[in-house]
Amino acid sequence: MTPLLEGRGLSFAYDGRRVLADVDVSFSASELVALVGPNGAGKSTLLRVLLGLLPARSGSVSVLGRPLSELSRREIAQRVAFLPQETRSDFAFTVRELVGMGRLPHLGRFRPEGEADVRAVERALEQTATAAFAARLASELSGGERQRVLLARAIAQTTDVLLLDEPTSNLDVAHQLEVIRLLHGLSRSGKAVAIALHDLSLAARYADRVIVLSAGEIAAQGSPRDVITAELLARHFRIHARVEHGEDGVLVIPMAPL
Amino acid sequence: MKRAAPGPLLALGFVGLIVLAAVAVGRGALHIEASKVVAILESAVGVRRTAPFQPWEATILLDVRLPRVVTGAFVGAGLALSGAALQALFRNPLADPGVIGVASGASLGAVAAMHLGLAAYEAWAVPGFAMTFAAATAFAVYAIASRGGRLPVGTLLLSGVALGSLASALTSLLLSLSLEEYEQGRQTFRWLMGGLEAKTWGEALLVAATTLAGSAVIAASARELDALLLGETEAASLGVDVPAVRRRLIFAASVVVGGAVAVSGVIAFVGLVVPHLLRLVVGPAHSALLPACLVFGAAFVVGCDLLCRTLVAPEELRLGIVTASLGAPFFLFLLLSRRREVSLE
Repeated sequence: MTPLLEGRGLSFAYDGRRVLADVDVSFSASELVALVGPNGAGKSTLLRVLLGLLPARSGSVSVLGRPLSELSRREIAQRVAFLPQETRSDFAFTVRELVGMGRLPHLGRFRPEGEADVRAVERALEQTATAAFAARLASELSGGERQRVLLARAIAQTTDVLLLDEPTSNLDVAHQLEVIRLLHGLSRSGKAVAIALHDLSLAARYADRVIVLSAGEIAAQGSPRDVITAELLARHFRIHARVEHGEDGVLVIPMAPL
Repeated sequence: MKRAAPGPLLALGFVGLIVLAAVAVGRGALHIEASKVVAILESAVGVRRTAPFQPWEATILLDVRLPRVVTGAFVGAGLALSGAALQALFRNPLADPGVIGVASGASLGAVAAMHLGLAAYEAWAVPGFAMTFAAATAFAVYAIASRGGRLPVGTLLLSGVALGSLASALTSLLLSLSLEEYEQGRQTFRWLMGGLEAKTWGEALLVAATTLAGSAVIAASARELDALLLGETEAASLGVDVPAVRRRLIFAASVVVGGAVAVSGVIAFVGLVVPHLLRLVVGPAHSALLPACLVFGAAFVVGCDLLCRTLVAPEELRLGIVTASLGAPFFLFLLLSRRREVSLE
């Protein structure tokens, strides 16, 4: 199957410090991929390079079979949605306005939202259970509600690929599960979903494939069962952990730092 | 705070603007009754044959007060709109044409034209110099602050302040040199205080052209401005070509501000207070905010100018002094009561 988003030989450096070195990744339809790795491993950078928000020093990215370099920002945004880690704004948009911005890459300069746009926004609000507070100001929401609203904006973009940077950080356990289940459902509807995650248990439990990034290189990738082992966690995350394989998937129990 | 529907608010603002303008053309050192104002306007557009007014009354209204009101309306509209655009561009509710040095640059250009003596001979000299210097300042700030296609907001604001200060210092230098010649110094000094007196139809048309042209470009970017409020990464991931939009907006704002400064000097706080207040009323979305800025910015300046001419008639106050005296305390009040919303983080 042709991947929806693919990076080949990607390298990147900040001020001469190597952040990514010769990374190959690909994301296919109906797949939930978790990008894990310790802090500074290059997860956020990889997502930004894949989106063309940071220029790769070498290597190439293709989106739905077309080179990223040939696509305008608008064309990229019609194909790939991105949810960055930290978002904040001092300007008071309503939830509906914020989610509606997901339609930006599909709208003409002066053309108002059409029926398809309104439907996409409504669907995104329903899927994320945020329709109830569509008229409220986003700045007045709790962290969990806000994160779901931002997710709704990415969904309203109706792209084939979704890239998310730590979508579950700052959320309590119930909301973490809610968000990851939602993303899992989206992948099942045919999208390629890639998430940078700190929570190894969530990654192990829900991802179809785990990519372990360490010091800018891919240390391992494959099904959670094959990849997440006590030895890998010791080597790349510097922790002693128990890894149990149960009926529901892989369970990671961190014990102590090494 | 509950939001007002943009449609009725715009209609209200427009009616307010018309009423203010109608009062403004009648009032002043010489009072013209409302019925005569209507009659003069009717005969000017050719729908009335009789003339129940003196010819000199028509002259005062049509050639002195009307161009002044029209100039004020376009200056206010342009300053408020470009303020709103710059605030979104820098993601800072405190940004304003003054902050990135554009107004100071325009001011230096205008004073240079006067100092060189061009203003006395060529009508285009002051606006031409003001716009050129405004654009030059904006692009100099941009060039100094940008690094490899990125434009850190902090660096941008600081280089704006630095270049703005340099422009102000050079303006002072030119002013002190101009004082040698009494008439030139007096003209420069009065212009620097900001005002709309003795505006001609030529100047009204000039500022109408610059405001309309710049506003059209800014209005065409309304959705991109919304996305920019979320941050550059978000805007880019939503399909906005951030560097291109930024260049376009800075250029458009320079044209608007250069035109406004050329005809009326630096009029403080319009670009800051009007968008800020309207954002509280209609929300931050630019499809509603930008038209509201045009209408209420126009009404604000026409109203302030009316105060200038009537408060101590037959003497006149300077417009820049009135907008600053109204704007500064009000803005400080906003700053203190809504600290969180205007934070610089």
